[in-house]
Amino acid sequence: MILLLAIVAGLLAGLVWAGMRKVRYETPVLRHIWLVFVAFLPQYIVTYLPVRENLPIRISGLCLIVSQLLLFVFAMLNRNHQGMKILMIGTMLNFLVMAANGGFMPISPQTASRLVAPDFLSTVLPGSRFGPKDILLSPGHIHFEWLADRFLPPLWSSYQVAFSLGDIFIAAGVFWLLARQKNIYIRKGYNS
Amino acid sequence: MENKNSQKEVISMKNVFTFLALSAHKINRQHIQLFLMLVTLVMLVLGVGAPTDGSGPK
Repeated sequence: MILLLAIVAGLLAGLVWAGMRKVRYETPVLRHIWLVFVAFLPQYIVTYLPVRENLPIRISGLCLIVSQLLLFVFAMLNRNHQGMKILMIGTMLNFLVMAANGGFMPISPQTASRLVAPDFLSTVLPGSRFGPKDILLSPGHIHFEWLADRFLPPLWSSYQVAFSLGDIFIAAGVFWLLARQKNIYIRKGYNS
Repeated sequence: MENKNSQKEVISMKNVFTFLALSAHKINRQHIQLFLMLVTLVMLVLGVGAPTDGSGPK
Protein backbone atom coordinates (compact mmCIF):
# COMPACT_ATOMS: atom_id res chain seq x y z
CA MET A 1 0.00 0.00 0.00
CA ILE A 2 2.75 2.49 0.91
CA LEU A 3 4.57 1.64 -2.31
CA LEU A 4 1.43 2.23 -4.35
CA LEU A 5 1.05 5.57 -2.61
CA ALA A 6 4.57 6.45 -3.79
CA ILE A 7 3.47 5.75 -7.39
CA VAL A 8 0.39 7.97 -7.04
CA ALA A 9 2.39 10.73 -5.35
CA GLY A 10 5.14 10.56 -7.98
CA LEU A 11 2.66 10.71 -10.86
CA LEU A 12 0.83 13.66 -9.29
CA ALA A 13 4.10 15.49 -8.67
CA GLY A 14 5.14 14.89 -12.29
CA LEU A 15 1.80 16.10 -13.64
CA VAL A 16 1.84 19.23 -11.48
CA TRP A 17 5.45 19.94 -12.47
CA ALA A 18 4.65 19.54 -16.15
CA GLY A 19 1.47 21.60 -15.77
CA MET A 20 3.35 24.43 -14.09
CA ARG A 21 5.84 24.50 -16.97
CA LYS A 22 2.97 24.20 -19.46
CA VAL A 23 4.50 21.17 -21.15
CA ARG A 24 3.04 17.74 -21.76
CA TYR A 25 3.73 15.09 -19.12
CA GLU A 26 6.37 12.78 -20.54
CA THR A 27 5.86 9.14 -19.64
CA PRO A 28 9.16 7.50 -18.69
CA VAL A 29 9.99 5.03 -21.42
CA LEU A 30 10.64 1.59 -19.96
CA ARG A 31 12.20 -1.19 -22.01
CA HIS A 32 11.64 -4.95 -21.74
CA ILE A 33 8.26 -4.59 -20.01
CA TRP A 34 7.47 -8.25 -20.75
CA LEU A 35 10.15 -9.21 -18.20
CA VAL A 36 8.12 -7.72 -15.34
CA PHE A 37 5.05 -9.77 -16.31
CA VAL A 38 7.14 -12.96 -16.50
CA ALA A 39 8.98 -12.19 -13.24
CA PHE A 40 5.83 -11.33 -11.31
CA LEU A 41 4.00 -14.54 -12.22
CA PRO A 42 5.74 -16.98 -9.80
CA GLN A 43 5.49 -14.40 -7.05
CA TYR A 44 1.79 -13.91 -7.72
CA ILE A 45 1.20 -17.65 -7.39
CA VAL A 46 3.03 -18.03 -4.07
CA THR A 47 1.82 -14.82 -2.45
CA TYR A 48 -1.71 -14.15 -3.64
CA LEU A 49 -3.31 -17.38 -4.86
CA PRO A 50 -4.89 -19.85 -2.36
CA VAL A 51 -2.51 -22.54 -3.64
CA ARG A 52 0.22 -20.87 -1.55
CA GLU A 53 -1.08 -22.68 1.56
CA ASN A 54 -0.24 -26.06 0.03
CA LEU A 55 3.20 -25.17 -1.29
CA PRO A 56 6.28 -26.16 0.73
CA ILE A 57 7.86 -23.09 2.32
CA ARG A 58 11.17 -23.73 0.52
CA ILE A 59 9.51 -23.73 -2.90
CA SER A 60 7.70 -20.50 -2.06
CA GLY A 61 10.95 -18.92 -0.90
CA LEU A 62 12.74 -20.01 -4.05
CA CYS A 63 9.98 -18.58 -6.26
CA LEU A 64 10.26 -15.24 -4.44
CA ILE A 65 14.03 -15.14 -4.90
CA VAL A 66 13.85 -16.00 -8.62
CA SER A 67 11.13 -13.41 -9.12
CA GLN A 68 13.14 -10.72 -7.34
CA LEU A 69 16.23 -11.55 -9.37
CA LEU A 70 14.33 -11.15 -12.65
CA LEU A 71 12.81 -7.88 -11.47
CA PHE A 72 16.28 -6.66 -10.56
CA VAL A 73 17.41 -7.50 -14.10
CA PHE A 74 14.51 -5.42 -15.42
CA ALA A 75 15.52 -2.48 -13.22
CA MET A 76 19.09 -2.83 -14.42
CA LEU A 77 18.04 -2.81 -18.06
CA ASN A 78 16.25 0.48 -17.37
CA ARG A 79 18.96 2.07 -15.26
CA ASN A 80 19.17 5.03 -17.62
CA HIS A 81 16.44 6.56 -15.40
CA GLN A 82 17.75 8.10 -12.17
CA GLY A 83 14.75 6.85 -10.21
CA MET A 84 15.42 3.32 -11.36
CA LYS A 85 18.94 3.50 -9.92
CA ILE A 86 17.50 4.39 -6.50
CA LEU A 87 14.93 1.61 -6.87
CA MET A 88 17.76 -0.81 -7.69
CA ILE A 89 19.43 -0.08 -4.35
CA GLY A 90 16.19 -0.93 -2.54
CA THR A 91 15.73 -4.08 -4.60
CA MET A 92 19.26 -5.21 -3.77
CA LEU A 93 18.79 -4.59 -0.04
CA ASN A 94 15.48 -6.48 0.05
CA PHE A 95 16.95 -9.29 -2.05
CA LEU A 96 19.93 -9.62 0.28
CA VAL A 97 17.88 -9.91 3.45
CA MET A 98 15.27 -12.19 1.86
CA ALA A 99 17.84 -14.51 0.30
CA ALA A 100 19.63 -14.76 3.64
CA ASN A 101 16.40 -15.69 5.41
CA GLY A 102 15.07 -18.46 3.17
CA GLY A 103 13.49 -16.25 0.54
CA PHE A 104 11.20 -14.37 2.92
CA MET A 105 11.32 -10.96 4.56
CA PRO A 106 11.90 -11.50 8.26
CA ILE A 107 9.80 -9.73 10.86
CA SER A 108 10.26 -9.95 14.60
CA PRO A 109 7.39 -10.76 16.99
CA GLN A 110 7.85 -7.30 18.55
CA THR A 111 7.27 -5.57 15.23
CA ALA A 112 4.46 -7.96 14.27
CA SER A 113 2.66 -7.22 17.55
CA ARG A 114 1.96 -3.71 16.22
CA LEU A 115 0.20 -5.17 13.18
CA VAL A 116 -2.01 -7.95 14.55
CA ALA A 117 -3.79 -8.83 17.76
CA PRO A 118 -1.77 -10.68 20.42
CA ASP A 119 -4.21 -13.63 20.29
CA PHE A 120 -3.56 -14.06 16.59
CA LEU A 121 0.18 -13.58 16.95
CA SER A 122 0.37 -16.32 19.58
CA THR A 123 -0.95 -18.79 16.99
CA VAL A 124 1.87 -18.00 14.54
CA LEU A 125 4.87 -20.20 15.22
CA PRO A 126 8.38 -18.78 14.83
CA GLY A 127 9.68 -19.66 11.37
CA SER A 128 6.22 -19.72 9.77
CA ARG A 129 4.86 -17.34 7.18
CA PHE A 130 3.41 -14.05 8.31
CA GLY A 131 1.65 -12.05 5.62
CA PRO A 132 2.30 -12.54 1.91
CA LYS A 133 6.11 -12.34 1.94
CA ASP A 134 7.16 -12.26 5.57
CA ILE A 135 8.39 -14.88 7.96
CA LEU A 136 8.16 -14.55 11.73
CA LEU A 137 11.59 -14.87 13.33
CA SER A 138 13.01 -13.84 16.68
CA PRO A 139 15.64 -11.06 16.35
CA GLY A 140 18.41 -13.50 17.25
CA HIS A 141 17.57 -15.71 14.28
CA ILE A 142 17.32 -12.93 11.69
CA HIS A 143 20.24 -12.47 9.30
CA PHE A 144 20.80 -8.80 8.41
CA GLU A 145 18.28 -7.65 10.98
CA TRP A 146 18.82 -3.99 10.07
CA LEU A 147 17.43 -4.75 6.59
CA ALA A 148 14.32 -6.55 7.85
CA ASP A 149 10.77 -5.19 8.18
CA ARG A 150 11.47 -3.14 11.28
CA PHE A 151 10.30 0.39 10.61
CA LEU A 152 6.85 1.41 11.81
CA PRO A 153 4.73 4.57 11.58
CA PRO A 154 3.99 6.45 14.83
CA LEU A 155 1.64 4.72 17.28
CA TRP A 156 -1.06 7.35 16.77
CA SER A 157 -1.34 6.49 13.07
CA SER A 158 -4.46 4.48 12.20
CA TYR A 159 -2.57 2.73 9.38
CA GLN A 160 0.08 0.42 10.75
CA VAL A 161 2.64 -1.05 8.39
CA ALA A 162 6.08 -2.57 8.83
CA PHE A 163 8.63 -1.76 6.16
CA SER A 164 12.30 -2.22 5.48
CA LEU A 165 15.15 0.07 4.50
CA GLY A 166 14.90 -1.43 1.00
CA ASP A 167 11.23 -0.44 0.82
CA ILE A 168 12.18 3.18 1.57
CA PHE A 169 14.61 3.21 -1.37
CA ILE A 170 12.03 1.54 -3.63
CA ALA A 171 9.37 4.13 -2.72
CA ALA A 172 11.84 6.98 -3.25
CA GLY A 173 12.99 5.53 -6.57
CA VAL A 174 9.55 5.06 -8.06
CA PHE A 175 8.52 8.53 -6.86
CA TRP A 176 11.55 10.11 -8.51
CA LEU A 177 11.05 8.10 -11.69
CA LEU A 178 7.54 9.49 -12.15
CA ALA A 179 8.06 12.96 -10.73
CA ARG A 180 11.22 13.93 -12.57
CA GLN A 181 10.46 15.31 -15.98
CA LYS A 182 13.58 14.80 -18.03
CA ASN A 183 12.34 16.71 -21.08
CA ILE A 184 11.80 19.89 -19.12
CA TYR A 185 15.46 20.21 -18.29
CA ILE A 186 16.45 19.36 -21.87
CA ARG A 187 14.10 21.91 -23.39
CA LYS A 188 15.21 24.50 -20.88
CA GLY A 189 18.78 23.81 -21.97
CA TYR A 190 17.90 24.31 -25.63
CA ASN A 191 16.07 27.56 -24.94
CA SER A 192 18.83 29.13 -22.91
CA MET B 1 -46.48 7.61 -24.55
CA GLU B 2 -44.65 4.30 -24.84
CA ASN B 3 -43.38 5.32 -28.26
CA LYS B 4 -41.96 8.55 -26.84
CA ASN B 5 -40.16 6.62 -24.11
CA SER B 6 -38.57 4.23 -26.60
CA GLN B 7 -37.51 7.21 -28.75
CA LYS B 8 -35.86 8.78 -25.69
CA GLU B 9 -34.07 5.50 -24.97
CA VAL B 10 -32.77 5.37 -28.55
CA ILE B 11 -31.53 8.96 -28.29
CA SER B 12 -29.78 8.32 -24.96
CA MET B 13 -28.19 5.16 -26.37
CA LYS B 14 -26.97 7.19 -29.34
CA ASN B 15 -25.50 9.72 -26.92
CA VAL B 16 -23.70 6.97 -25.08
CA PHE B 17 -22.26 5.58 -28.30
CA THR B 18 -21.24 9.04 -29.44
CA PHE B 19 -19.56 9.66 -26.10
CA LEU B 20 -17.73 6.34 -26.28
CA ALA B 21 -16.62 6.99 -29.85
CA LEU B 22 -15.33 10.46 -28.91
CA SER B 23 -13.57 9.09 -25.84
CA ALA B 24 -11.92 6.38 -27.90
CA HIS B 25 -10.64 9.04 -30.28
CA LYS B 26 -9.13 10.93 -27.34
CA ILE B 27 -7.22 7.86 -26.14
CA ASN B 28 -3.95 8.26 -27.93
CA ARG B 29 -0.64 6.47 -27.88
CA GLN B 30 0.57 8.42 -24.87
CA HIS B 31 -2.39 7.29 -22.73
CA ILE B 32 -1.76 3.65 -23.58
CA GLN B 33 1.94 4.11 -22.89
CA LEU B 34 1.17 5.73 -19.53
CA PHE B 35 -1.27 2.96 -18.59
CA LEU B 36 1.22 0.23 -19.50
CA MET B 37 4.01 1.97 -17.64
CA LEU B 38 1.85 2.33 -14.52
CA VAL B 39 0.82 -1.35 -14.58
CA THR B 40 4.48 -2.28 -14.99
CA LEU B 41 5.56 -0.08 -12.09
CA VAL B 42 2.78 -1.41 -9.84
CA MET B 43 3.92 -4.97 -10.51
CA LEU B 44 7.55 -3.99 -10.09
CA VAL B 45 7.12 -2.33 -6.68
CA LEU B 46 4.79 -5.07 -5.45
CA GLY B 47 7.37 -7.59 -6.61
CA VAL B 48 10.50 -6.06 -5.14
CA GLY B 49 8.98 -4.38 -2.09
CA ALA B 50 8.03 -6.28 1.03
CA PRO B 51 6.10 -4.10 3.44
CA THR B 52 3.57 -5.82 5.70
CA ASP B 53 0.49 -3.91 6.66
CA GLY B 54 -1.75 -4.47 9.62
CA SER B 55 -4.60 -5.96 7.67
CA GLY B 56 -4.62 -9.06 9.86
CA PRO B 57 -6.98 -9.50 12.80
CA LYS B 58 -6.37 -6.80 15.40
